[in-house]
Amino acid sequence: MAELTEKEIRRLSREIEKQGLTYTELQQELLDHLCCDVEAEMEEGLEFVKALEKVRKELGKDRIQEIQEETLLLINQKYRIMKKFMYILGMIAPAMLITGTIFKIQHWAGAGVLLVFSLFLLGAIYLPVFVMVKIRDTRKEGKKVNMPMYVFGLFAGIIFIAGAMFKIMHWPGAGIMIMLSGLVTVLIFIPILVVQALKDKENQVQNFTILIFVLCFVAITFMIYALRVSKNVLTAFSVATEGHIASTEIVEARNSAYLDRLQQSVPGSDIIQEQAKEIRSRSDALNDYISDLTADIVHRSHPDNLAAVDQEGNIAFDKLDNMDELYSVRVVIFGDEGIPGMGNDLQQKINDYKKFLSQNSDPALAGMINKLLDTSPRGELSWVQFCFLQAPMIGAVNVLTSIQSNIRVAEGEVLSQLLHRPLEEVVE
Amino acid sequence: MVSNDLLKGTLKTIVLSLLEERGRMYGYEITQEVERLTKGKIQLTWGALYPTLHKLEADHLITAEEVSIGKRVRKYYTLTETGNKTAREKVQEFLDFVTIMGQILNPKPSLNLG
Repeated sequence: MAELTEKEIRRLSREIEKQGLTYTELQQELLDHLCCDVEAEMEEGLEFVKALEKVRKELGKDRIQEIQEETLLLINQKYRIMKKFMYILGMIAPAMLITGTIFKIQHWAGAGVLLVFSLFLLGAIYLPVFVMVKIRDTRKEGKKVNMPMYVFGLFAGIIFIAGAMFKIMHWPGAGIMIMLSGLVTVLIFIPILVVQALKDKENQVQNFTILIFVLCFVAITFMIYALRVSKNVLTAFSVATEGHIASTEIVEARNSAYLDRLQQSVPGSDIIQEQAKEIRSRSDALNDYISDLTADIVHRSHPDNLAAVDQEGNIAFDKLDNMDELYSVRVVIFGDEGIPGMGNDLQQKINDYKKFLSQNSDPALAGMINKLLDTSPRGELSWVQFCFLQAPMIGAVNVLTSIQSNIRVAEGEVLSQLLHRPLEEVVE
Repeated sequence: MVSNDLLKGTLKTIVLSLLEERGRMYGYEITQEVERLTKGKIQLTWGALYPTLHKLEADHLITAEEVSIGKRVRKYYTLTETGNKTAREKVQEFLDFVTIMGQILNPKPSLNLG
């Protein structure tokens, strides 16, 4: 029997590699087979080169790669592991997502981590693995793979889950992502799915069910978006807020004038001057505190809102984003995930201020001060809840600026009363 | 020549029964043996044989051992214990199938003693 030389074997080995065979176990086996074939031909009296040519012709051109693919498909352990992994992940991720949601509702720490991790598992791992397994299964059944369906479906799915994750975590860009995934789903994925469902007679029920679910999902998503506070309402809020800010400025200017006059008109009356100064500094402190709260809420609603608030706390309302944002208000006022809420602190500070004003003014003013800065509970709700529970960002800003305006009005009343009291004393 | 479509479902049975009979075989040997036994009526292609062999190996019905032959490696296959059992089952199943097919395609006139 003719035996091939080392050089000839190497030549055959290169031949196999050239065909794109990368699976080494198969490489060696096919090399042996090819050698046997060539040897058999040489036995018949052919030269090596001629024998090789003949064998090659019989094999056909792309056979070797095909064999590899088929072999890998049949035995691929990676594929089996992948499938098992997919099933396990399919149980863990939703369980984690539900747990995360419960945590979120209860405001327990760790909700964010759970939600992000489970959504990451779903979007970045489960979905691609599912698509890979599905494509392989389809190929294995010898059917044609509808590649665009998988590509666009995967794209829309991943972007949607990422958008949901960003939305939950209040990261920027969530709206765009959800919008984009919605567009891809409605304009591309659903039409492809409809065609596929009509074509694929065997899986018609399955495809139809998927189609129905996708449609319902899109509808619900858009409905949630439609439920957002209307733009008109938001504009009305910001107009009201601007009104509060304007009146605060006017009253502030008037109060400064009172202060100046107090200092000029009552020489020697140090106690009253000290009192007036104390009132001013207390009012300023509370005013600044509320400005900081407002800025905090505005910033948390959208990162771009940083640019809408200047150093002195003036807000450019036409530049504000996410005016209907609920979460920022909840975090700042009621606290969430370890961040303490400032609502009760605010109420306490207002009460202290009220008490201070009443102590430093005519008892006749007490009723008016209490009315301006009322913090009593309303029905079932505490004052903080009444003002801020479920309030959108611009609503909370509106409440806070109105408090600031009322502070200045109360301050003005007390100062003006101080201004007039010495005169009465002089008369006496 | 036997058509590929018919061969597809029975290739496992062929490989298993050959290995049961001969004990230890390598790929090329199997193709040659099949060709010899069927007098050239069945020619196994690489494309059909090797995926089947690897699948049987992955299913633990056969095991492989590599032996150096000169400058190259040859992979010999033998049946495992489960493979032995499966081989017998598969052959029996196929023989039954052939009998049944025969009844359908080639019905013999039966005696009616009624």
